This record gives sequence, C-alpha cells and structure tokens, in this order.
Amino acid sequence: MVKIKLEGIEKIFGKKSNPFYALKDISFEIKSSSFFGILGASGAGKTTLMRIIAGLETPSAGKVYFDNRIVSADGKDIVPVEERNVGMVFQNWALYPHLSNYENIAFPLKVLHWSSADIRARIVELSDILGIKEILDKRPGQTSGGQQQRVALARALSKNPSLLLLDEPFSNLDANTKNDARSLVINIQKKLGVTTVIVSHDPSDIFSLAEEVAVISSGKLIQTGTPSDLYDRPLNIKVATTLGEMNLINGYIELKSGIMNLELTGISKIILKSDYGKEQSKAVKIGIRPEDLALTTEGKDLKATEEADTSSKGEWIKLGELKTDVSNYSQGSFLVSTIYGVNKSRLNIISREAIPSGKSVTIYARRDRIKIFDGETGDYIPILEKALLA
Amino acid sequence: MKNNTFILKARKSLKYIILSVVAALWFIPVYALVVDGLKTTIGVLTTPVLIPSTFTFSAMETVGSALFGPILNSIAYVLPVAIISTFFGAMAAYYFYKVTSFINTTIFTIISIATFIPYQIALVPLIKLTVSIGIYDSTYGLIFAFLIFYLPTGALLMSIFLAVLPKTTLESARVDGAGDFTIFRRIVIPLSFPGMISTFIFILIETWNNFFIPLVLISSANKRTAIVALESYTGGYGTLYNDSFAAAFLSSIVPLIIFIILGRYFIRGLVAFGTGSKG
Amino acid sequence: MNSSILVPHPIYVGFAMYSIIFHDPSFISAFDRTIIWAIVLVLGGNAIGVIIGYTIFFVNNKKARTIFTSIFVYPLAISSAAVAVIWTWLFNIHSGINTVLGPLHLPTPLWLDSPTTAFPSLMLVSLWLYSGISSLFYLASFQNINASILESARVDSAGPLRVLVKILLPNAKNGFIVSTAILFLFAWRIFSLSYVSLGINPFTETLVLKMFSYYETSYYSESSATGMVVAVIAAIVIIPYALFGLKRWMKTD
Repeated sequence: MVKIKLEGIEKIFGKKSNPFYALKDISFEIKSSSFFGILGASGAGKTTLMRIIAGLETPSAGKVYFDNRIVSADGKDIVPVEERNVGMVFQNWALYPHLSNYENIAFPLKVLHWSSADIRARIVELSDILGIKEILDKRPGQTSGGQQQRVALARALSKNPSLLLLDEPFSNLDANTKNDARSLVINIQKKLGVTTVIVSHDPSDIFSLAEEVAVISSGKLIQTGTPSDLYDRPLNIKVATTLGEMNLINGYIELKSGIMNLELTGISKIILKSDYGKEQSKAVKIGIRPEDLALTTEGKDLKATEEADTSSKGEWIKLGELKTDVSNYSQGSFLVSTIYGVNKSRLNIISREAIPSGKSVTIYARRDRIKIFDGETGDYIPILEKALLA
Repeated sequence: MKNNTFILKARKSLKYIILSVVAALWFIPVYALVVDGLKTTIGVLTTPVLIPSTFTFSAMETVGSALFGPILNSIAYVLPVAIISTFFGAMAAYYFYKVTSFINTTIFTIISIATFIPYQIALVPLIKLTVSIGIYDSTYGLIFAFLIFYLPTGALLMSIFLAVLPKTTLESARVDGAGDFTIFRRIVIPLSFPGMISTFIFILIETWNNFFIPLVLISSANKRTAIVALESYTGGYGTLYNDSFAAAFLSSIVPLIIFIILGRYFIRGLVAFGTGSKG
Repeated sequence: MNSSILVPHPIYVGFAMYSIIFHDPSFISAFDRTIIWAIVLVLGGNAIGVIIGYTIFFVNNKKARTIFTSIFVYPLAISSAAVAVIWTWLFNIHSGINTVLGPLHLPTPLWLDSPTTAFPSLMLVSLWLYSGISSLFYLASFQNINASILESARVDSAGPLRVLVKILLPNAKNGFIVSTAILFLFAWRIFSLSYVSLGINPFTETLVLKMFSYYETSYYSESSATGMVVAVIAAIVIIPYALFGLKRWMKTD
C-alpha cells in the first residue's frame, strides 16, 4: 500500500570513458494500492528499473521515494533491500531448490522471527488463496511451472509486503496457465490492496492487469498513461509498436479545400472527403494494426463477406490490392503477409482463413483506427487523424 | 557393408585394448604396493618386486607400530586445516561472489597466483617467521603454515564452485530480508555442499601428502607426520623392501581410502583447480 | 598472506647474490635440468594425456569411464614421497621391473643407479604421476563439445583419427592451455620425488632441490635468491594463465 515516486533515475554501466546509459532521466509515480505496469522491449531497461525499485541495484543518479521517505539517493541506497518490505517474484521464480515449498514460503517469516504457529497459520491462509495446499511438502523441482509460480507468489506475499514486484512472471508459462495465472494475480491484488508493479515485454500482460503503464524504450521513459490511453493516443511510433504489432506504411498527406489526398507509397492513393483543417502537406508514416485490417479475395466487396465487422462503427476504407506472401497461424487466426512497394515491404492482416501464397487480395482498413505519425520524427499527429475522420 | 561393421568393431575393441593395457601399466605401482607390503622376509629375498609370494602381515605390523604415532600426528594436523580452509574459504568465496570490485578481483588474482607458485620458495621466510613467533617445531606452527598455503586454495576452489549458484536465488533471499550470515548458512552452504566436500577432500589429501613443509618445520621425531616418517624407509641395498612398501602403504592409507570412497569429489576438485570452472 | 611473507625477504637479497648463484655451476646445471624436466613433462604429459583422454572419451559405459579415469588419476592421491619409495624399488636393478623386462628381451637400463639414466628415470615417474591430470583436462574439454557436432561427424562417416585431429583437438584449446600450464607448474615444483629417491644428488638436482641444499648448507641468501628465480619464472607462466582463467571465471558471473 506504499506509494512509489521516482525522480530523475539514471543507471550507467561500463567505464567512465565509455558509459552505457541503461536508464536515463526516468521520473514517474506509482499510486498506493495500484497495479502499475512497466512495458518495454527486451533490453530496454525495464528489469533494471524494477531492480532499482527493489533495491537490488543502486541508481547512478536520481531519487527513489517510498511514501515520501527517501530509500535511494545520490548513488547510494539509504534503505537496503532487506528493509524495504518488498515481495518479489523473479522471472525464473528463484525458489530455494533445497527447501520444500512450505519452507520456501516460510523463509521470509523465519527471518522476521515469526513463531512456528503464526507461520503455519499464514501459510495455510496463503495456500488456500493460491491453491497450493497439496504441494507444500514437495520440493520446487518436483512441481510444475505453474505451481512453482504460485509458490513464488506465496513467498513474496507471505510477509504482507507493502510492494509486490513481478518480473516477467508469466514468460515461462504456457498459454493456458498464463490466463489462470493472470486472473489469480489480479484477484489477489484487489483483495490485498498491495501496490503491485509488473514488468513485461508482452502487451497482453499489461492490458489484462495494469491500471497505469510506463513505456520504456532504450532506457528512456516515453509515455505514461492508462493502457487504453496508450493504445488510442500513443505519443510516437515507439510506444505504438511496443504495445503490439503495427504496420507502418510510408506515405504523404495533402489537405486542401475539403479533400484529403492520402498517398500510401507502393499501395495506392486514396482521396477522402475532409472538412477539417487548413491546407498543408506532410510526409507521414501511416500506422495500422493487423487486427484493424481486413481482406477479401476475388475482388469481393467487404460488406458481402464475413470479414466485415458489423458491430463496429468505423467505416472501412479500401486501401488497394496486393499479392500475398505467407500466412502464419497465431492463436486461432491467421496473419496473412502481403508484399508491396519497391523495397518489398510487408503489410500484415489478421484473417480467419489462410490465403495461399501469390494470390491477389483487396485490403480494407478501419478508418477510425488509422494512426498518423510524422514521417521524420515518428511523433503522433492527432490533428491529421481528426482530419481523416472528419 | 559387412566389412565396415567389422572394421568398426575392430576399432572399438582396439581402443579398449589399448586403454586396458595402458591402464594395467598404470596400475603396477599400486599392485606392487599391496603385494610387496605383504611379503614375508623369505619372499622378499627370493622373489622380485613384481612377483607375488606368500602373504603375511608381519611387515605391516612392525611398520605399523612405528608409524602409528606419525599417522595420528598427520590426522591431528591435517583435519583442522582442511576444515578451516574449506569453511573460511567458502566465506571468502561468498564475499567475492557477492561483491564485484576492483579490490576483490585483485585479491582473487593474487590468491590464484599464490596457489600455483611452488610453495617451497617461501622456505626461508617461513622458517624465520615461525621461529620468531615461537611456533617452530610445534603443532600450531605446522597448522599455521599449512593454513597460509591452503586457505587461499580453499577460497579459490570454493569460488569456482560458488560461481554456478544462480544469482537470483541469493537475491531472492535478500528481498526476503535475510542478512549475509543467514544467506550463507541457509542457502549458500546447502547449495554448494558437494563443492565443499570436493574442496575439503582436495585439501585433506594435499596436506596429508605434503612432504616439504612438515620436513622443514618439524624437527622433533615425535611430532613428525606420516609422510616425513616414511622417508626413513627408503633404505639402500640390503633393506628388506617389504618394510618399505608396507610403510608406503600405511602412510598413504588415509588418502587412498578417501580416494576409493570419495574419489569423484577429489577428481572434481582437481578439474576445478586446473580449469577454474566446474568442468 | 603468501606475498607478505615473500616480500620482506627478497629485499634483503641484493642483486649481487643473483650473479653469485648464476656463476655457480651446480646452480646452472640445476636450472638446465629443471627446464628440461618442464619441457619433457609438458610434451610427454600432453601427448599421453590426449591419448588417454581420447580413448576414455569414447568408452560408452559411464561406470567404466569412471573406473578408467580413477586408475589414471589415483597416482595424485599418493604422496610423492611414497611414490618415490615405490619406484625406487621398481627401478631396483636386481629385483625390480628389470626382472620382467629382461626375459621379454626389452631394454634393461640401470635406472636410478647410473648417473646418466637417473634423471630420465625420475622424469619417467613424473610422467606416470601427472599424465592422468592432463587426461582429465582433455576429457573435460572433449565433454564440453556440443554432442551434435560429433554426431554430425559420424553421419559424415569420419574415422576416429580424423575425429580426433579435426574435431576434438581444435575444440580442446582450453584443455591444452590448462594442461600445459599445470604440467609446467608441477614440473617446476617437484621436490619430494627427487629428494626421497636420491637425496640431494648432483645428477638429479633441480632448482627447488638446489634451493633446499643451499639452505641445508647455511647459504641462506643463495637459497632465497634461488627461490626468487623459481618464483619469477613460475609467475611468468602463471600470470597469463591466471588472467585467462579469471576471464572465464568472470564470464560465468
């Protein structure tokens, strides 16, 4: 239930002559009892950030506050990790292999000199919530990945920590176990009200669990906000792509007298009615996610096929015709890959059926899901998007 | 096709044959050790070293009573050294493992170098030191000298064995609030226990077999180690070699028994010692 | 701790002392002999180690592998002094191995009894002693090679000699470096083997023995100087080796 504040956090590795900034100028706040997510690609620096919050790494510069109390400042740990009352679930769970699951969960309580009776009561309570009663006497090595994770969670929660840290906790689980684990975690968090931070590279972890998210890329904080904020209004291309796969098409927009000329280089030129904005022309990158595209075969109209999402309010724009390359299977749908342009760029579309290679398909895009980014800086241009919808 | 399998089989058995022949050659000294230590006087006078003869324990008994004291001395010197070197070496290794700093790396390098340099070069300073402290020719002096040379070995070997411990498990214990001693006691020792056994046995055998240091530091006959006492059995012509072999056997009996029972730990220690990794 | 004991003393040994010992013919011959021993042990030990390591590597039965490995390594568990006692008798021209070699029409040298064959005999014993550890290192190296590479070679019908030369050895660089460094250092520090067999003997004296004999005859400064020579040359070998090992140790961090 602790509130966390980070001010100007920096982490430098390497020699003075050749420093590597793993983290640069990171500042944000985590509200008490909230579920906070840190999202970033591998190597972006998110695990380093979590370890700094835990106290396993010392920030080279900047301050860390727990509830307005300084725990790290000026390159020193004022409160060491042993005293921060943090529970942490490591990516590989880091259970003590030579102790039974019961003893694993009991370990932090033994350190705090709890009586055996109190320890037993606590573990019974936790094992009920987490469903691990039957495996308490086993060793971690004798239980499955999902069970080990629940034991690790129990150990992290046993001492009633004020902060719970989850470092990529689901990456070692298979798809089904992942969903069970996610719902377990979110229920516990609501029930106990413990401030929880999850670090992950998987956007679905973030979307299913976090109330607020910080997006880290190359050691820098790009954007914070709720998951839907980030999804609908990403600050730039980096944020948009970190949140999920997105097609990026180079293009050109020209606005004049009620018309928008939208050129998708290598695909087509589209003319749309637009009553918005003054005249301007700009080099842009058009971003559209595979799930917001649809395709039809044999030149059929979109509305006539099952591909049309009749529940959506968005209008479908026809982008053009392209030839397919490969179709990849992913969790119940197919990712159909088409090729366009002189550089043989790819445009990926989610489809309910696999399309054989070399076929001609017509691509449609949802008008309200097209994101427009500046062609040079990659920054999000909401004004042009409004123009698109007007 | 048939020819090929025949060649393959022939090659395989050839390897086995070569290996077995060479292994047999390697085994001869131990064979001689046992066979000749058990020979009667007549056997010694009539048969050559490699040919067995009638069994008797008389040589073993005579030599055994003479070596009994030195063997007890060896145990008394060697056991504390092995225990202390392993235990404190493990603590030092844990510290090296936990804290990576320039000083630590330097100390570790110095220790590695010190372990491999022939310890005999410290002869004169060592004697001067023990004499000046007043522990020359004493149990404490020998244990002290052994520790100087073998404690670094213990730290080195334990560092190698600790290196394979997963760092996240130790970090997890820190997050759980455990201090260094708790982590060392409850996690490091149980998880690195086989490595501790290897280190312990390695040092035990090396110190037991050490000839030079006790030779130089102990002058009283009643404080001699088994191996130093062995020297008086080399003898020239006319000596009955069953005494020599019995002496060699009895003074080596502790390391030999350890090697037979716990040999794989000794071998792991050797591999770690040389390659600097768990192999 | 070791260094602090070493450091004060060498300061007392002036540079003049080094020129004195380097003019002592017995020191020079001891020096030469130690170098020869190191070379012989490194070359011979590596060769035998490779062969033994190679043959053990292909033994399929795990238990058999352990037994064979133990047979070649057990000499290290025996004190060098005991080894000296055993081999002194094995080398005895009346009752030793000559009694078997003779009837087989194999050469029957005088072993330790002749000034010319005494030193080579000791070197032979050291090969028996230390080849085993070399084979251990090679075996460890071979076992670290990715199994699929060897299977690939079998699919390509490679013969055993080709596998040894083209696959095992190139990938056993580590084993070679470690084996060479350790064999060198073992040769350098040999003491009880010579001392217990033949005492301080002008025909088998090595540097460590020379150092000891200086000490016994109260030439303390000469003894320390000799010790420093031993230490310096050993350090020249160890330091790159320790740094090499340290790099690997740091990598696993």
